[in-house]
Amino acid sequence: MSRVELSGITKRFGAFEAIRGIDLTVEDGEFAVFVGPSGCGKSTLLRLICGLEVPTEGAIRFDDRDVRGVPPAGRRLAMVFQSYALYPHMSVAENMGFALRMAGISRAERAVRVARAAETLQITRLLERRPKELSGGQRQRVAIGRAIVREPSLFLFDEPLSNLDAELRVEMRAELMELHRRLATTMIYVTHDQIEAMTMADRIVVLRDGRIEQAGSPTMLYERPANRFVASFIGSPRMNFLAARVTRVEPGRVTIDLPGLLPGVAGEPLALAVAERHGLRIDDSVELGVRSEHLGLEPRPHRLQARISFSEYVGGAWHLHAGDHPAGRLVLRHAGAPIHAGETLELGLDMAGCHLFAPSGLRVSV
Amino acid sequence: MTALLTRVRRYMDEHRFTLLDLPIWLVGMAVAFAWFAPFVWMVSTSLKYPEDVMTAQIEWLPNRITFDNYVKVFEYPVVRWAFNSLVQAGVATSLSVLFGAMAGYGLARMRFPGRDGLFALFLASLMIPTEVSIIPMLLGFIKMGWASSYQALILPSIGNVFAVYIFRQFFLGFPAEIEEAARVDGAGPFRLFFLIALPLARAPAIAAAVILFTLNWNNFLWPLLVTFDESMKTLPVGIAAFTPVVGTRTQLEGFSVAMAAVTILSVPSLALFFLLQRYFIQGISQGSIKS
Ligand SMILES: Nc1ncnc2c1ncn2[C@@H]1O[C@H](COP(=O)(O)OP(=O)(O)OP(=O)(O)O)[C@@H](O)[C@H]1O
Ligand SMILES: [Mg+2]
Repeated sequence: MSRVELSGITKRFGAFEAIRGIDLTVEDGEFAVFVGPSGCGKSTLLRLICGLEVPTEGAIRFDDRDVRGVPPAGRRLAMVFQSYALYPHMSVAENMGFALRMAGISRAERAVRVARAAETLQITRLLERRPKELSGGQRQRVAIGRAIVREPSLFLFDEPLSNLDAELRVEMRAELMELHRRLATTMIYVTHDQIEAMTMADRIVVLRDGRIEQAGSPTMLYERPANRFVASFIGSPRMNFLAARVTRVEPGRVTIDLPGLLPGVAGEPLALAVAERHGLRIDDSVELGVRSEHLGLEPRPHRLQARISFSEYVGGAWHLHAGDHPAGRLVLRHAGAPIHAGETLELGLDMAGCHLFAPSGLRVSV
Repeated sequence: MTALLTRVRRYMDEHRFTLLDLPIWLVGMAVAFAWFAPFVWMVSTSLKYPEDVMTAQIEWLPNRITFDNYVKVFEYPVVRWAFNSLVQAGVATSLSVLFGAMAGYGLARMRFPGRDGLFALFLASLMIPTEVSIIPMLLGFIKMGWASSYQALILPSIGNVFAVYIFRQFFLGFPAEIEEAARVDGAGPFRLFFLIALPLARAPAIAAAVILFTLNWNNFLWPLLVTFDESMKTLPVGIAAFTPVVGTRTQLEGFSVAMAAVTILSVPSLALFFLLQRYFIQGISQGSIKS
């Protein structure tokens, strides 16, 4: 079993700093997902854990054992690559048994272990084939099979599903989660797909430019994003950000003014509870973040007027887009009678689901 | 006439051949003929009677043919020479392909100080003409007592920059993830090379093998210098002694017998090329494997 601890990890390629001081612990048995935009350093971080790259600074510990200088093969881990990286000149069985062969395990035992893994993944009848005789999904299964045969204490996946079509991706996602449930082995999974992250992770680690923006459970990241970046990265449709201005600052409370806000029913100003040290001052430009489900046709004390520029049917519901709202473009999810482009709506803001972001991008609302 | 034109037109369309390609095509054909003519001359002469070898009117194709020359070839110890040639070309080619693969792999895939300088040095060595180093090398071999031996025939050609180059190009384009997967699976550098990289380098290996085999098989100057006994001669060296005058034969007779011998000599290289043509062109034209 493996607990992975990264402390102060930095990785430079020449002058370029790909990873900038990462502290992170992945607990034993956890399913951790690294997510972030392209080029943020997800693969690099995974390769550092794997031992394919050496950190410029910082230490990596597996179960409190420093693995500096330990080659990948000595780390009791298995990695599944995005391109599958199957050995083209070997049969599926040879591919899966390669690591065991390298470890000097007898042919007979190899056969037994490969057969067992193949059965788990339902690829027994493919064992004699070459990789090029397999479909994408089958290759993916073989790549995963090659990993589980070794009974590693840590699995690393680098965007393993990104080459599959949408349907297969959902299917394999479920299988991987099932595998994790059954093996209870620590898994670290890299993806740039936030839906994959949300559905699979015990813990999501959001990366940007080589730094951790936030790490936490999917619900925590969704409901309490640390900053505007995480808020916009997690969730689909994306969170709406409305430009606003601070009009009043009181202890634990900030009042804002939003262009296009209809006069409150009770004449009540738009105020949010904020954390102690928010650093906001009157007239600061802030952003109000509101997810589409907290913006609806229900009558609420605070309402916005918006003209629908177009609507998309997403099955069972519509995504209504208001492109020309003075505070910024809005998207909301609407289930019910169709609403057509050109209609003007009054949208109620569910203040409980609203977030306030300071000019620095940090979330200051509580 | 119009029917022919239509067919030409259709052919051109099918092969995306436009009028702009015509000059290139003409030059290509001219070069092809220039290469092919000596070959035709060789085969044609090998089938001629001695008195037809040099005629006032050029006979590109013999008016009358004889296979006598081919029979006469075997009056010389050609079997022994062919054996020597085979050992020399076979061993030298296998070794230079193996070493070329290892060096090319190292230069493309391993990180060590001075790597690119080393490769530049390899390339620079191509600029030293063989003639400059061949005499000192000959003296060296004689001093070591290796004159007229298989070592002497083989050793100078086991390192070949061309082989290094072609493998380096191939391994530069080789998917890194396959190697990384093998590293994670526990393969060290040697098993990585012999179990993963080398088996996947079939295309450059074949290309290098065909070219180097032909070069080694036809190699003339060095075997000529280093073999002192009849029994250690290679085929090209042995055949060269057919002309101008051998024993009681006339010079013209010597020519046609020599051409017969050379025709036989060229068979293995040609056979190898045609057999492996597909891989050969693959290996030369692109250096990557499809994943
Ligand atoms: N070997 C290397 N040499 C130089 N720069 C590198 C190297 N490997 C990665 N980088 C750089 O480090 C940054 C992070 O790369 P990385 O591959 O980790 O991104 P990623 O998050 O996995 O992106 P993607 O989602 O596109 O796979 C990139 O800017 C990349 O150009
Ligand atoms: Mg990546």
